[in-house]
Amino acid sequence: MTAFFESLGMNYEWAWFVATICGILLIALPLMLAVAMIIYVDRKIWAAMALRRGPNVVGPFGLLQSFADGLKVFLQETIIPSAANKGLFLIAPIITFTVALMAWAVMPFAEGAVLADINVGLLYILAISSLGVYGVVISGWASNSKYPFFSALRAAAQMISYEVSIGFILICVILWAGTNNLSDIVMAQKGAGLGIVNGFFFNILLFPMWVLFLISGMAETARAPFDLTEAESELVAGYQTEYSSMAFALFWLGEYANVLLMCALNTTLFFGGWLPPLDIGILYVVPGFIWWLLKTFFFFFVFSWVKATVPRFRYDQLMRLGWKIFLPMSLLFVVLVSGYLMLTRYG
Amino acid sequence: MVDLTQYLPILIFLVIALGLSGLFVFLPMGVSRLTGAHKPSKDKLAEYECGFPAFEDSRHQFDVRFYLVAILFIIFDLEAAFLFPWAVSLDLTGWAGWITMMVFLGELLIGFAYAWKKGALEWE
Amino acid sequence: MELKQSLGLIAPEILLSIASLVLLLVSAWAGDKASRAISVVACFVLGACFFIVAPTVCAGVAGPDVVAFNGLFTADAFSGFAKLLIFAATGAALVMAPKFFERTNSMMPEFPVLILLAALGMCLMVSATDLMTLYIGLELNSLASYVLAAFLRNDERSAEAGIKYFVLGALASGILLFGMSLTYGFTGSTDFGTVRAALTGDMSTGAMFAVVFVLAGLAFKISAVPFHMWTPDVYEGSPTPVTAFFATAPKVAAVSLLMRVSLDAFGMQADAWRQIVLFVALASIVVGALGAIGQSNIKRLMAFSSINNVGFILIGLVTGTVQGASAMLVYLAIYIAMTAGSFLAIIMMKDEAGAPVEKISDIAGLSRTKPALALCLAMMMFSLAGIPPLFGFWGKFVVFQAAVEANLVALAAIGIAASVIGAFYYLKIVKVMYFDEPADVVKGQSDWAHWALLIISTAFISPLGYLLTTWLGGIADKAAATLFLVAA
Repeated sequence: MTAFFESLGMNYEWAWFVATICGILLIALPLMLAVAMIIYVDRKIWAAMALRRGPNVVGPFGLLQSFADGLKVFLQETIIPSAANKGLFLIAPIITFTVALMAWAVMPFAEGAVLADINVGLLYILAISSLGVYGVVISGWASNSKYPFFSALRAAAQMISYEVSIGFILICVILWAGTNNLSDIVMAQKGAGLGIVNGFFFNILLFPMWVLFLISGMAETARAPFDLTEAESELVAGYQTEYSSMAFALFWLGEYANVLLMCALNTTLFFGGWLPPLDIGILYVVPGFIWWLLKTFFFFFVFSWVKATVPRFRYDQLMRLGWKIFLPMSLLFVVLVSGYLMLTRYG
Repeated sequence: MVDLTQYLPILIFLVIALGLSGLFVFLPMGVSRLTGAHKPSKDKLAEYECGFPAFEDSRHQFDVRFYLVAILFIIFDLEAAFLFPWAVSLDLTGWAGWITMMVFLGELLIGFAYAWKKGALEWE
Repeated sequence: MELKQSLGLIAPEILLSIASLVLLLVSAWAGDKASRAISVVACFVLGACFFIVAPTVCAGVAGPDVVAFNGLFTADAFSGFAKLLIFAATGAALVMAPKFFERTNSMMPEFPVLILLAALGMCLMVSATDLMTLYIGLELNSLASYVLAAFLRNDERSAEAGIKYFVLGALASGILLFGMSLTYGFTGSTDFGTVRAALTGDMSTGAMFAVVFVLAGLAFKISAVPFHMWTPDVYEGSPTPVTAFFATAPKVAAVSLLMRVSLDAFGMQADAWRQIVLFVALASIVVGALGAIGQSNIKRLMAFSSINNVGFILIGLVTGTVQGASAMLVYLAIYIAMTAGSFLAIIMMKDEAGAPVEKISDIAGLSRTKPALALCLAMMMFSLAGIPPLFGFWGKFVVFQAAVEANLVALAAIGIAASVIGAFYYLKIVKVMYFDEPADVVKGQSDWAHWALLIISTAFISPLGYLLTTWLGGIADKAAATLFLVAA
């Protein structure tokens, strides 16, 4: 893109700058649009599984429902409770949303289509996603209200618990790919399964890790069946209880952006990213971005499906699953994967 | 040396993302004043409760288990941080690197077993 | 081959770490019943380590043959000497503990494990020839110590001591780390030898800051003035066996570490740090002596006594000579015997219900109710005061002799004057025990193990100790010489 702006007569620095800004907007704006649409899709899938019709009034098939909701909250009054810490109260949604956007900076959408192709990409994603817990904790604390406070505690403990096993799962992927760079990880998956399947999931040592990653991803983003942070029967609306207007909407947008990120990570780390499912020449005719989009959407469907069908966990079950099953298992697989690689590849 | 310009887009992204979310938070506050939706009252600004006024301060003591989880998290997350550079340099460090890391993991596992046995991972 | 050799050199450390890990698991599964058995095993492990290290000290090993892991670690005679003292002091703490805790049913099997981990950290400290090893050892020791300070977790004072120690210790670690990062920045290495080579001639202001920060961080660990504020509170609040441990083993480790860092890593800048150490030494002697006078709690008094003694030890460092270093080692050996003995006597002072007696007014007239205990404590006090027939005098003597031979006559004179002030409060305890009306509070009986250990340490500091001077001086000279050999 830099070359294009240079051809318009800019010098290299300016061309690079404008190209970067365009790249950022090309990520951020479609992402927000995608989030709006995905909320609608989520509701539709959920409704279909419950034999309901879902949103169908605003626009054709209710397609514009999310935008109507957005306009509504935009025009609402922002209520800041008198007991709240005002500065922190307003900073919390900003942190949540900013962090949710930031993680996408290193995501490869297609070959070369990545904003910052840094060589510690996966580490960056892990770091950014662990910052997300600040938004939740700060919102719960700043609200100075009972339910948000409980919810923030729960959310913090839950998110950090699953982050631990996610860290170890990522180590397994890094070990196999031999790199931290997300584009290189995708390329390492080319023909990784029996020389024909693009993706790490088709590997006896990494398949269990993918299963753990999928479940941990749901827990990390507090999606059902792990949505204890906003279990409405116990905690009203969780840490968002005191929020209204766009501040409330930002939590929603951030949450869905994180869910999409988890889907995209499933795609990138285990299902070959922008590569077609099989390593067959003809499939490469379809642009990589389309494959990426299809796979990511498929995972979103899985997330919705789970949300519609699986009942909510109890909190003690959730913590036991994270610390007593996922953590030892992922640690074991770090040993197995690295041992196998030492014997076959590096030894 | 690391090429730091790689990270410049991330910095610019941060500025834009912050601006965008700041706009989302503060613009509606201005708009609601213009449209007249901004009508705070004492009851509206009270914190959420079951209908009664709150009996006590909401920031009270909470279960010590949350601290335990936080401490365990720090230990294991730091361990993961050690594993990241190890994982990408396994071809250079060879068996010595692998065995060293396994010893480290083993030690950690002993600590984990201790915490488990002592009930640090129990809820209820 | 290289790795195998390195592993051989760290045999005591490996033994300690494996033992502590295994005992940790045993403590989790066997529960509180196993406390005593675990303590016994821990004592045997320390004994084994002692006998692994002892030959290297007697042989005075040094040089590149004993450097492990490409210069991260050295097992020379100097570190060996310090390790022997550490193992002895740690073992003493282990013997003291069970009876003390069992009265309140608070003896937990984690105690010996934590003590072993602290000992492991101290071994790494004294053997460190790299800032990284130094910091890992220091933190391992400190973290175990924080928990030990708060070991009586239902006791408010103990918990307070733990928190205070932790917060201030973390601050000191931060200062030390800052100094270490500056050192690395200005010299480009964390290895002592390279740092030494880089810090020659005129030092930049930044490097000066590095030296000051590192010394300040280490001064906290040996509780030297002006970083001594935590000592009285922590010593008073911690359970007495833990206080005895704090006053002995970590002091040895931190002083040895300070010696190696100043004489080796910053060895070419002796003029820069000598003024700092000189000030710290004198300030510690004076503050320790004056601060102790008004104390009514004997553990607090011992805290000031340890500050005072650290000042005397540091006089040896100010000289910067082999003789000074050797004098420090001799002083340390005598100091831990005196301190451990004093604390043993304090532990053995119990009231009718077996609760510890800590107020000085409560031990009035002890000579009439418990003559043997009073005699031992009195000898400890005379020895700490440095009164001639006892062995404590010899420690002060060698240090002052080294100072005089290094043309620091004025320093030696001030030190001797201050030790006279210091003698006042030690003698006050003797006076209270022998000449005051009996308060009749101390009535409890003591364990045979406590008596045995007390008699051994009393015998060591009694005039009998002078039989050892040649031998002790000999191995201390050899150990101190290795320090300068590495530096040269």
